[in-house]
Amino acid sequence: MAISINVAFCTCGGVLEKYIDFNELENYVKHSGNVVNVKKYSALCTYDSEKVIQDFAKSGAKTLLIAACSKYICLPMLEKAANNLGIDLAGLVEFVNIREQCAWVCNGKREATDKAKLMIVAALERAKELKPVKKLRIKVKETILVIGGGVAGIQASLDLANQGFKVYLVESSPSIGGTAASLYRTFPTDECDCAICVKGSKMAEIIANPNIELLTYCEVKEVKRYPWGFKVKVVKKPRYVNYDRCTGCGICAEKCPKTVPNEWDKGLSQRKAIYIPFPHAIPFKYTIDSSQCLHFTEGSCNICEEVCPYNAIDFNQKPEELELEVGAIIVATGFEEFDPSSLPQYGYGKYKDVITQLQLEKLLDPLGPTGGRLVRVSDGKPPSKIVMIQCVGSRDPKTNPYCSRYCCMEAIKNSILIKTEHNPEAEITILYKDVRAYGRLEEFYVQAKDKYGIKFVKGEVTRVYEDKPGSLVVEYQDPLGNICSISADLVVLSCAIVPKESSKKLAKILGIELDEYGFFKELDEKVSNVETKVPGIFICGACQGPKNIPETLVQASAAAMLAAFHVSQCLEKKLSLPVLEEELCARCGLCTISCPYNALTLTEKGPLVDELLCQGCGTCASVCPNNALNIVNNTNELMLKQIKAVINEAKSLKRKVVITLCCEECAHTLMDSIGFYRKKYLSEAVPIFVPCLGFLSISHILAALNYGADGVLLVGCPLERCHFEQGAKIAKRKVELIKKVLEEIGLIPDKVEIVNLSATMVERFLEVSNKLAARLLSR
Amino acid sequence: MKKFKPTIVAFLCRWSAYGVADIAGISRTGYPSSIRIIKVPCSGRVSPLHILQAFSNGADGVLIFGCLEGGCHYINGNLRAMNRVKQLKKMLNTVGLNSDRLEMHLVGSCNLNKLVNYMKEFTEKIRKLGPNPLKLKEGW
Amino acid sequence: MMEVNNRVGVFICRCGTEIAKVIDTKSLKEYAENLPEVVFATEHDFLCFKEGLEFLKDAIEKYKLNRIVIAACSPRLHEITFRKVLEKAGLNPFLLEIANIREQCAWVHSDDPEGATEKAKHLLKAAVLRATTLEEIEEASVPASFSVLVIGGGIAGITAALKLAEYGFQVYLVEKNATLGGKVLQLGTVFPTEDCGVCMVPYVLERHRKCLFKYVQMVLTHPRIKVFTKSVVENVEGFIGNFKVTIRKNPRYVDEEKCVACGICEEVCPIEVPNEFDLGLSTRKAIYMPSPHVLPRTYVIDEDCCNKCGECVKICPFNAINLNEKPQRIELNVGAIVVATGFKEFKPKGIYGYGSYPDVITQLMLARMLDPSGPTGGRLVRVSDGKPPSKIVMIQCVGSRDPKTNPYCSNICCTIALKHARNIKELYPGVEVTIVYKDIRVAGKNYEKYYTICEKLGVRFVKGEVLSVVRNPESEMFEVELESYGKRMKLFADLLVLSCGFTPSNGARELAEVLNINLRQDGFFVAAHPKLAPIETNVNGIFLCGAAQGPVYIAEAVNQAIAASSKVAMSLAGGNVKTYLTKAIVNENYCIGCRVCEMSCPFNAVKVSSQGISRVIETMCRECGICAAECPAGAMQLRNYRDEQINATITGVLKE
Repeated sequence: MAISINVAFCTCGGVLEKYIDFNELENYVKHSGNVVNVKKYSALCTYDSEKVIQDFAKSGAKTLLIAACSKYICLPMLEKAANNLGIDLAGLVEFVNIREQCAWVCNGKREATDKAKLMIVAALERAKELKPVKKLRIKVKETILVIGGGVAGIQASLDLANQGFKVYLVESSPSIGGTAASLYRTFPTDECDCAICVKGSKMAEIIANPNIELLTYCEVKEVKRYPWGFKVKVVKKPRYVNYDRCTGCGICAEKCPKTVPNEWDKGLSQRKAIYIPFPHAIPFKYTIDSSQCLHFTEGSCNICEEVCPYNAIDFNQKPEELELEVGAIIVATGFEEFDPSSLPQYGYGKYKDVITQLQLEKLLDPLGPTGGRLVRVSDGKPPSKIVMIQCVGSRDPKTNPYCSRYCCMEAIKNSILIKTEHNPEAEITILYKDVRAYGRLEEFYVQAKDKYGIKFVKGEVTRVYEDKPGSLVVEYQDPLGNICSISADLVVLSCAIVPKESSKKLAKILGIELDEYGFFKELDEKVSNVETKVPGIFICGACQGPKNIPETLVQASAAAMLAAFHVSQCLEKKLSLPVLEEELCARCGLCTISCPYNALTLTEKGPLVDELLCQGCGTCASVCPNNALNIVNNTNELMLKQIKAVINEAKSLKRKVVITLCCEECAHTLMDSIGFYRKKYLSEAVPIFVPCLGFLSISHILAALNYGADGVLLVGCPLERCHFEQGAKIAKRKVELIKKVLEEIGLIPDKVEIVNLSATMVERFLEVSNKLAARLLSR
Repeated sequence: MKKFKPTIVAFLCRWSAYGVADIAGISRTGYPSSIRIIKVPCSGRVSPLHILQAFSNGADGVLIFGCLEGGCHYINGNLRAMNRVKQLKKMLNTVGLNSDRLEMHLVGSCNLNKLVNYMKEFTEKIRKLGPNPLKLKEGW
Repeated sequence: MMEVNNRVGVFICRCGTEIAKVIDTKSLKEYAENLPEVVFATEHDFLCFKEGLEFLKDAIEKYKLNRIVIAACSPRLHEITFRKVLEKAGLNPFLLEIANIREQCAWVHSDDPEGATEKAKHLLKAAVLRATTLEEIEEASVPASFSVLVIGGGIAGITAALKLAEYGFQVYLVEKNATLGGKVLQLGTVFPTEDCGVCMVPYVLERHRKCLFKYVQMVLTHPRIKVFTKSVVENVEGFIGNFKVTIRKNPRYVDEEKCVACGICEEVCPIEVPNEFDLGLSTRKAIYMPSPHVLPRTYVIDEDCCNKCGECVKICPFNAINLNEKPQRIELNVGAIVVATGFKEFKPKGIYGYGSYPDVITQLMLARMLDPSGPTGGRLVRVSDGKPPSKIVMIQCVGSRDPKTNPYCSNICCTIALKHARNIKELYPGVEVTIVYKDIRVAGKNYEKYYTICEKLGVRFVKGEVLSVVRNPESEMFEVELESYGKRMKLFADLLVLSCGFTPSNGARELAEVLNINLRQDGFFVAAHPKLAPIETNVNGIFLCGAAQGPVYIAEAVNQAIAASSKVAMSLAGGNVKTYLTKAIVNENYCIGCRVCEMSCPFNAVKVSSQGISRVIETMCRECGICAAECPAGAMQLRNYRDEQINATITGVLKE
């Protein structure tokens, strides 16, 4: 059934009259079916915008076809006007850009007018079938789960709590604080460099804030997604110490007979089986390490229970399961230091005096195992010749190709600290590939070099060995290829930041992706590295990629803001979902595989669409062998109709035609840009727009040729930067396939062409279109 | 006469130093009981008035602890305090108080040993200096 | 207020045995009972336990206590808990004083029980004396304007504006230029995604990217965003929640409401000048649009070169042009301010022949050239003769890492150079590209790949210091002499590209004065604290984002912008600025208007009124008490740390 259409032309203040014969267009449109009202306006984007909407309303037409300038300049104005009149234009308007895409790019009035006609023909076809667009409105729970109590998690929680949201902060270890709190000092060094000075106050705020529910020693076990948010199962691991009764007096630890290496001090010191990880720990409550405690390992010992003045010890605690309902989740699980023992050349693990930067932190830390005395792990003597090796496990194709961003400054900071606080005489050499003291940090590099006389040597370490007991030699190749060596009594490896082992598991639980390195994958590297593909799940801190503390804090606040926005607003989204014709569906599941957003799940009824995840690119529809899936307002049938209509009209106008199928993203802007630049190209190219090239199926292209198109040109985003991830690539593959087929059946393959261009690549497009012109229209 | 046991007033910034003093407790790191800690929002809050008040009340020495340079939670409170102390030291001499009875140090929350050592050394120094002369004048 | 006499209650916690085993809590209790105004004293085993807290509450009610002293563990552990109890018992939470006799007494003096007990007595006495001086402190909630001023219409500014508007704030976006978009638009393709700079942020639910072009349009048409182009902030008064802002809107001589960018005015304009958007690589008219991609798509007249011939006025079909437009002033009331003023490229005047030879260009010029829609349509040419170059040398760190110009590293120039080297190699494999560098600083997860790709593409990297650049008139080649690893060497180039550092954008210094916020010597804005407050400034309610603090990658600029909006949302949550009034307070009878407090306050929270009396702006005060300490007249006090309160403590710890 067809719909009545109201057509509105815009002459751009009469300017376009010079390029296009509007009377001809008007008459032409009048006589094509369904059109109930045609009118010419002079400025739809400014003072006519309300008028046109009113006329449309009066005309009683179902849909409005606008022939004016760029959709992205004009449409927002019209929508504004419509809203003022209480009309929602979604799914009622079809747009033809007869200025940038026609008037300004054609040679002469005749050409332009004809091209305008063809464009309008295509548009009319759509206008006839437009259905109002449904909108998805969701309001999720106003609570947020933050996973990870490190610097990122803490900052995000505080931001949210102070905005008035209820926050659950889940930390898997007994205390919040994370790696940053375990550092002795943090650069930039002339600021309050002691880490805990900074972390301490923030950690205290967490406890003080009534909006934050702190869940330490807990793990996220299961996450289910619902329209209202997420149902989260959290397991509270047993501390075997009554949280409310323990006052942190520490007698238990004093008396506990079992000592184990202290992971907080990177194994450089011992702790008891019942312990508080570090003196600033929050909450300041003891925890029994059941994997070590004799009571559990041998069932023998009950000492802590006996000595505790508060009977806080409770060996019978069981894991508890909590169920939280939250509207958004922020993942801030942090990083691990790369384990260099996998790289034998550095001799880590083989020689006691080869340590990592984080271990060095502990040796410098007055609260650390040595009470802040810098000594060799092997013999407890203070080192005088220290060599630091950069990029251990970073910038190395064999381990991690990426740069860990913080290690250069870590090394510089620690060497300055050694010089200033421990041994001004110490000889410190830093072996580097590049000193990446970027931005402000440069001044500390300069200080280290000039003020403290720290040696910086560019070179690639070949091996570290012991020439005589207690004296190490670092052998390296300098940039000129010579093998050199430095003797050292302490070697410090600046190890890469690597993703936590647990990330894999967590990613699975949350249903988010990991990047090639194992960090959580951001939605977009450039413009949104705190969002993930799943709406409502955000990432921040080193779990997304290496960064230093200020950057982490900023990213955490950003994540908090987006989460706050996500839970506080009623979120709205125009739906252009694939609709399934069940009897046609063969349950082959191709659609589910092809969806770049994992929005489809195969059920016995066929694919089930997740309205929240679907972006309406139509890739699924294009791969469906039975044409069982169709996008609302972008059905295959409609596509074919448009193509046919344009070609037939072209024939009746005795014009050649190149069906130019453009995606709504890069290509659309590109077509407008060309107009902005007033560049002429072959006017036979009639643009027809689709959400994404991924939407196009082989049948569309073949149909076009079959109806008699002189050529088919696909214009889409650059392969790597398709706005719908896969679309451009898929289309490219299809075109290559078609070319092959055409060749085999003896037709001219180069009738079909695809170009992948970003919105500004005007000149590139012109090159292509000119080539095409030469090829196709000479025939 | 019994061994002179000095009393020392210590103004501790609530952000860094006061926390370190707690750590001293948690890690059972002892220091002389002569030290009497007073919490202040920022070392910058301590005015000469307070210091004199302490001396006139019979303090044998006054210690002030602020955050590390650049680490002040109020941008430069610690440095302002440092300045005042410098000025006041001059005055102390003139009123017949040894300016060594007043000291200020900057410590970060991790400088436990530093803090405790300052306290010990200072107490020792004061013990050598003997009781606050004002106290004697007033005939205590 | 009427005087009620103090009824102090003292609660001594034994902490099981932890305190009791060192300190004789019994004698402590007896000592307490005899202290002035103490009407009740007791010991307890675990005051912090449920039973302990209930006991406390009951005691307060039973003995009608109105000052509470607790001798127990550090206030850092349970102060909040105890304050809650006071509130439950109907007391103001600030009528509590805690004597830290665990961490700071029992645990550190276990070797000296008498000493410890004696000290504990003093601590307790001090607490009691102080308690009697305590005052009720109420929570103030100042109504805040739910609107925000965003200064700067670059990528950071528009992102912040859009996020804040979506969040529900009324946003005023002020841009000094005629169009929005900032540097990103000039960059052509941008890293790390190698797409055009105009490819921007997604909606929260619509996961796919939008063109900045469409994105800016969203900003321009957003019902809660008002954009002021060609405008500068002239004056700011007031404080968080209630800033009074004056904006000067300079004339653009073209009515934004009427202009439809048909462009015929441009055709008739007789005057042609170099286009600064393309850094002089193209020309524009006196009435112009800097680039077709800019928004708002409205023409503007450059008054500096317009001869007011009036041709455009005649031809404009919408008579949108008014050559007599005058600047206007606009008054706004906003709750918070976001500064996103960005940066500009360092001008290497006279360095390595820049200025004397057209073929010595900057990376930004190269970016314009390589921009597919730029002046050369993406073709790489020598500016002098339009011929394609064959040998290109890029020199890094021009105007950064250099004490003579800018000591800091400009952070992004390495990546920009590598990006361009890569683009060139991909487009013109034949062209030789050499990069002379100090260090290649492409730090982080997404940038290192540029280095590896460039090496694969055969870009030559030379680490060294450039000594001299001379142009050989015969060969028309630049001869770059440099020192690398102690060896001298020469490089030849027919196109020389200087990777210039970045400096604060024009007007940053003036703005800093208007806003009263701190700058570094180099002229970039400085955050209140790099790790406590990387976005905040020394003025409560004014926040920084983007390159205003120094050059940053787009990704970071965007994060900072969103983070800044988070801070705004935090400080204006619920349309109020809430705070306990533990703030500085003036005794007007003593104040001599000497302005010492005003000058000493790090946060501009004190202003001296026209009557010469200090006034504290509570919402700006951060309770450091510096003003109180500096005040020569004793007029300025910090509530809860008043002089008499501190003195009480002093007396307590000392006097027998």
